[in-house]
Amino acid sequence: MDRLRTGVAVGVLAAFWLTPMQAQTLTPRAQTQHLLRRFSFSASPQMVTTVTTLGTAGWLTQQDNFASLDDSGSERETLPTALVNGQLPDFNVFERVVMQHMAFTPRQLQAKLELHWLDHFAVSLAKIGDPAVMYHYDQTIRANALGNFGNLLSAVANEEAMLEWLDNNGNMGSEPNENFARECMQLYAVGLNRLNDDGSLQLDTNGLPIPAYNQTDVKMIAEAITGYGVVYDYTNNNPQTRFSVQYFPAKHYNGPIKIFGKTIAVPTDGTALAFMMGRLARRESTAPFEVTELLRRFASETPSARYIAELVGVWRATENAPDQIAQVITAMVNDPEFDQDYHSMSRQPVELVIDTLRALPGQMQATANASPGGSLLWELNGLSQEVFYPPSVFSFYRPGQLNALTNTNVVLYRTGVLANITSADPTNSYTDTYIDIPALRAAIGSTQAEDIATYLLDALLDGGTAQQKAAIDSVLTGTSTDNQIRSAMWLLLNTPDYAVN
Amino acid sequence: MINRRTMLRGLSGLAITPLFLKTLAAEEASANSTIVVGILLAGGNDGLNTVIPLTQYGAYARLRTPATPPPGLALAYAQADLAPLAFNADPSVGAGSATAFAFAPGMNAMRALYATGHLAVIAGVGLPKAETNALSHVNGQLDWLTGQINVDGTPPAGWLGAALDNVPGGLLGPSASLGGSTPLLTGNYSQALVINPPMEQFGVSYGATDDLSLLKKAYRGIVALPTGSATAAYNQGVLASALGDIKTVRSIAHQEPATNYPTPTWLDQQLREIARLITGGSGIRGYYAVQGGYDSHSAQAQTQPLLVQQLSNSLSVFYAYLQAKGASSNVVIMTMSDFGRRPAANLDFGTDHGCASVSFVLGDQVTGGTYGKYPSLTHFDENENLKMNVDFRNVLSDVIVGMGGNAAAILGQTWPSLGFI
Repeated sequence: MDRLRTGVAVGVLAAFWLTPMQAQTLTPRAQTQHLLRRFSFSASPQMVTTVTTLGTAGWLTQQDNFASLDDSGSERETLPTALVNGQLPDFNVFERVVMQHMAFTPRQLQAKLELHWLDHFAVSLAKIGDPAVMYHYDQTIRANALGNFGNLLSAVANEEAMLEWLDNNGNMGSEPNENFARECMQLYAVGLNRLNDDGSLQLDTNGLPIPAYNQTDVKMIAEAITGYGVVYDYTNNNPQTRFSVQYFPAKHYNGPIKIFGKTIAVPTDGTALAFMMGRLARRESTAPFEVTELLRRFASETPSARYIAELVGVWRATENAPDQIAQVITAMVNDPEFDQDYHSMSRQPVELVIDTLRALPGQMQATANASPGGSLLWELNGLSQEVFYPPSVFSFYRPGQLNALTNTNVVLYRTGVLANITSADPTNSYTDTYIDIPALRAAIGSTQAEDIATYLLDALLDGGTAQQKAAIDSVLTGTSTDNQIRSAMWLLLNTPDYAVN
Repeated sequence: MINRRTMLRGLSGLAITPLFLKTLAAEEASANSTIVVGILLAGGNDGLNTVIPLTQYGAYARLRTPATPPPGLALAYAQADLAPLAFNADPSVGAGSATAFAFAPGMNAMRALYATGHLAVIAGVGLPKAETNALSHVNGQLDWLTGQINVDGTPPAGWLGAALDNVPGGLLGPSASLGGSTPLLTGNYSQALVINPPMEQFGVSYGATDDLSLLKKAYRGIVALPTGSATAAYNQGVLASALGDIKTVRSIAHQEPATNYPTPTWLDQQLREIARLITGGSGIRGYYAVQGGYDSHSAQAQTQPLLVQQLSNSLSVFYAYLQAKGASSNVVIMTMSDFGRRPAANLDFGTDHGCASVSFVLGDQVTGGTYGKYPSLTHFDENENLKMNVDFRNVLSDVIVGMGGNAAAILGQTWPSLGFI
């Protein structure tokens, strides 16, 4: 019967998909909460008030000009600049710093797009082995997250981490390693099948999808981008600067290259990789492929053909703009369909954790036995989304199939993750992440259970329902104890409604 | 008879005693009770370096030696290393007399399983030409897990999930995945129980509280409240399933400690829990496990041989455990993989995405031997890949029929029996 219950829930979801969307009229506050869940890692009630006053356009403009937002306090640790006896003194610090930045940077739009592109251009430390290389990769993605897609694609392709992940590092000569060429097209640029501008499949005369590339294209592109390698300077003791990408002309294939039916002149001066990525960024199917994925991650898992086509128009119009991605995001948010998809997607595990820290006053700390945010790495691993360790080249989930991250194991495991976060005592030397209860009380401005409940419901559930309030009223009394507040937080964080973005 | 449809369970959960488990299992034994364990070898396993065709050894060695390999990177196995693991189509022929094929060095346990006459080796199996993206991991895996081709958008039901749609399941439903969410076990009416090993940790962890019993009561209440969206309702449904299963899962875990089951690899950890669920009388009929790492584009000799050795050892331990418990008679274990690899190695001493590969099917019900035709290593398809001669759906068809399912309805067409079940 439990499986049947799940089947009924699936049916409910399917029925929701099949019925025409009813126009949603969100209050300005709810609009802000929706915007900040999708394009930042949520926010405290105070920040929601500030952004509501600023307005969506004002917030987007502020976030697009991220250089003007002081980012200096967002990382809680200093990265190593020297190996110790040839080893990194702390293997996980690079990943922790990335998580700290997501939680505490004011450049939230950039951070959210950083997460998206890390997933899109998924690379795993499990194969790379060097977390400094992964961090460098993350920084390149972050710098280009709101920029021009062609530049982003080229920058990613030229990163040490990507060269090692998809084996372009060893791609040479006339028997090329096809891995990067294939996956770049399928996953990063043009997609598997040719698409119309509304995201629909182009079909042949038999009604079958038309592949966006064929095996010859894979092999030829692989040959065109031969000759690159990652080089380590082992005399350099700085883990962050001891690696580089170099081009080896002798390993480059100089034969004729015919791609997508056309013979092309591939540069032999070491710019072949950038050259090919530029061509792929401008393939006809790239725009609908990329836009559909952006929509599926940020707006709706079932965007309308109209929505897709609208944004593809913006994508194509801004093809050479340095802030192309930012402009597409702005168009996405300003489209009326954006608000229709309120609460339509599940929270990704990273969102579940980081949102919690930002909606409530979460903190990370270093102690004698803990590093800031250290436990989050293991917990996100258990939730199947540790950012430096995507399970495969597929990334954490296929866009449009976010529910694959919701299963019986995850829904129970996260009770423990949320328990750890809400229960952590900062005076315990093993605590690296916790909710700052005194700061929360100060933000609430009242010791009364009624006010505490109202604040938490606003922070976590957009106000919630009377029944949800009654449920947490049962664990809050008069002037509530710290543990009662922790219980109330834990209860709300484990509601099915909190699991939704 | 109590089955998964008639048994009603609220979020508070029914107290199911262990005694029920054996009773239910016994009731269902009278019908076709075949249990299928599907193992995905994720990434695309190189069939040519898993089962080597000795009769084509010369071509094999040439294809797998694109240049003089640096130490440790040679892809072509030496004939002397293959001889101890040689086998013929007839499983009764010993390695000393066999001349047809050989398992890769390190697969000694698989060779021993083959000798029992209960391991089927299916060669030349792959995706058909009609699959327009046969060299894509996404499509390859989705095809194998759903039994369909050219899947676009939201995947259809998995072939195993669909086969279990109308089958009485046990207390925990018809299927369980130990390898995360999977389309394989998604039926038309149900989804799989997903457990992360070990089963003992399957449960709710409560936060800090001054009154645990009050918190537990509040939790059960708040998660059952009406939700504000269809997506939240979906989450709620999954949570309701999970909460309803905790007592039973932990009861089985307690009953079947399997303390001596070795778990050196992630695959072993998954198979151990599957073994416990089977021997614990869960009544689950479909299982999923995954072994990753098979996408061997580079330095293949450093990864793939160890993976197939681990697969070999893991299957052997799993099967032996079930046999020792008297629980192997109705269990069929099969391997699936995205696709095969190119016959010619690349200059990075790896292999790129290709076509035909091999599948293994193991079980008391299985008639051991070789099936399908090993592809030619001198005549390739238009992309210089091995020619597939067994459609992957044909393999699935035999398994579905073996478990009493309607293969034609699930796969969309009728397939001739390959004969291994």
